[in-house]
Amino acid sequence: MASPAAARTAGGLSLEGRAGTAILVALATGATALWAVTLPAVDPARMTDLGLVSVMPARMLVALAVLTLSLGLTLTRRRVTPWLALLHIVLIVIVLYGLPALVEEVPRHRVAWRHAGIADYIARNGRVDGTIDAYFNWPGFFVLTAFLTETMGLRSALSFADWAPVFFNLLYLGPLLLIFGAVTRDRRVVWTAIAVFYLGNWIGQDYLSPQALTYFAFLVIVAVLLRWFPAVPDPEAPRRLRLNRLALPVRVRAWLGPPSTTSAVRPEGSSRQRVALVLIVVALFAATVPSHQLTPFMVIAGVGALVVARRCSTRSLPVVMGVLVSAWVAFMTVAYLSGHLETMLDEIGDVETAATENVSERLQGSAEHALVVRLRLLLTAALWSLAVLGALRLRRRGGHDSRFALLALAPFVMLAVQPYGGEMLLRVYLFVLPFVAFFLATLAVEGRPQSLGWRSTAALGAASLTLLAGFLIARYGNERSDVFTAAEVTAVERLYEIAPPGSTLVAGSRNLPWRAQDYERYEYELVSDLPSWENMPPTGPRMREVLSDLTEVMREAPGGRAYLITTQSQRAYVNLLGPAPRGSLDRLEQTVVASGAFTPVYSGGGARIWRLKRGSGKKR
Amino acid sequence: MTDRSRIPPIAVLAGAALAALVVWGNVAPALRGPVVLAFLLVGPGMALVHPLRLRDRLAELCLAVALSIALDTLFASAFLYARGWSPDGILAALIAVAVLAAGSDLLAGASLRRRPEPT
Repeated sequence: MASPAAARTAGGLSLEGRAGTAILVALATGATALWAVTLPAVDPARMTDLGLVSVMPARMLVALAVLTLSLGLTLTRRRVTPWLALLHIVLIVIVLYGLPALVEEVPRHRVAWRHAGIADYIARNGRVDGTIDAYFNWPGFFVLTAFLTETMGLRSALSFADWAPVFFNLLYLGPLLLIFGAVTRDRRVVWTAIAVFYLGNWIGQDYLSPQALTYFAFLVIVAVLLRWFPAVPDPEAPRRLRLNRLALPVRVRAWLGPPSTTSAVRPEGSSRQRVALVLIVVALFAATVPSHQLTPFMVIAGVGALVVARRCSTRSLPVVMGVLVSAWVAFMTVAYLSGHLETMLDEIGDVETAATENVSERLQGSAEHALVVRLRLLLTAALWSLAVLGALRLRRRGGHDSRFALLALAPFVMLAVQPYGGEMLLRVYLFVLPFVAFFLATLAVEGRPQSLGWRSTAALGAASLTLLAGFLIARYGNERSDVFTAAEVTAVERLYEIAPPGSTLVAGSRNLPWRAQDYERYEYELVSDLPSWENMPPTGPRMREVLSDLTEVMREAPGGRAYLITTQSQRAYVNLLGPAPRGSLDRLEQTVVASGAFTPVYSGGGARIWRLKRGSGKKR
Repeated sequence: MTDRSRIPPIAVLAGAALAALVVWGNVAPALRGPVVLAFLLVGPGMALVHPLRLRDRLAELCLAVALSIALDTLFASAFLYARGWSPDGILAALIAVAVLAAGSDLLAGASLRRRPEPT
């Protein structure tokens, strides 16, 4: 962020007082207007494997930089004006998170299409079937989506899927303000932490998804506990906690131990209010449990850490939460657990698998994609390292409140429990982000002198622009594998018209806008899941073997009704993420055509659909 | 209850009436989405959170939105698992909760105002 010195004068103009406010409003709105007029120049079809940033015109990048610097100047004025900071944050959320909705033809991200399909199933059938897949064992979010879609008179949840990231990120703003406000009265720290959160939330879990909604519940629960149920001084706690037996440095023991009477925060509210607030927290958690597999455990980890370290006065809450989760898992997810329990138990404590799935396997694919992944890892390491420095500095300056440190550490427990399909590190990043953002903010602005030298000013300005650049590449670096075209959607709609219910639909890779309708009426297969593709040699899949596997899968479809669909986004996905070499899906298409075993039934907009000829692929 | 603190329950009652009108009265079909979404995002939760008198508008609004979403999810799930899926029925139940809670809040506020000042 820029410095107070810069805030006071920019080109000889004061940025304090009403004139300064007017200048900053003009900068923010002007930058947003410039961003808006450059939108038509963004052509996702020309995107490279570096993602959206590769097709952003220079004027758009300048607009984003000016808006970010204007936010920095706003936060370094002598007195931070909340409405001005709020204006900047709202504009930043719109321009950073709303960009795909405005430049792409149809909703992005294949999983959002699938989620819309599950909501559609519930709306049509009025029930869930746990045997279809895991989603139906945690259907809370989809039930809510089905209810909202029908009550709002919409045809599909895809009608609002585009704007989900903007909606969810604006939703997070309220609890974030409460969370930061619970531990500091310094407005500059609060709003800087908010800025770091939004410039650091490149994880992309805010699409139309259960995790996006339940993350809001997580933030609200944490906010309530921090504000209304803070630490209670307890001189007996060290003996009961047996912290002295742990091989921890004295300072760390003291920090994690029970609060002294001087560091304890006075609880707010009457007993009636506090009872009602506990009930509200339980209701929020109860709605989270059937909605998402992971979030309830992240909540329990955070609340449990606070309770164990005597930093939260609602000591029975983790037990209540544990009972709710256990009851749901034991009684309502039987269909899923019966087939997956053994695998899940095997994965507990398997750190090697977690490391492989979360880091190593993500480094494959095109050179640009590997660069994006490395940048993400670098950004993560940098933010976490700076957060540790911030926490230590805060501690040296007399900060006794260890609650944020506990909340930042708690999610890491989950890394040892589950690789979560290679996504656990990403999820941990998201759940620690608010606290990391806070420590970074304290490092940047807390206790700093009113007036900084030009070097510090330049360094802080460069840091905010670095965060912005990192966000653009880290968040939208995989955009080629997330974007779809209207022509592809037309091809998928045509597929559902051509293929009678009960057919097997086969795609080259998982990346296409399907499953948004008739979720349960078709069988879905992927070429990339075939044994010959999964166990390919380093040179790439052997197409004759792949063709053999493919025809076998399609031949075994009920009534022989099987259709193969290939689209541009599938090719982009394979080329971007691997593990097959670039062009593998194109080679498969050529092999399919050359085999003469398939009848083409549709072609258009880079998409093709084939049906297996009767009698083809029979084993002799 | 001050005049200003009567605004949230009155807004909840108005929101409930509007939601009922656009869904069942077919009034202003173009506004159906925004009106229903606004009510379901804020209404049921605000009706229950406002009587707590938290004296912090941001906290009240955050809790109202979070609780509304939780109630929407729990009510919809309850209808589903009770094999009685009916979006109209779920909306009616949420409107009933909001109207009862906001109405009680208003009545409790009115009775407080009528109570004589201690001498």
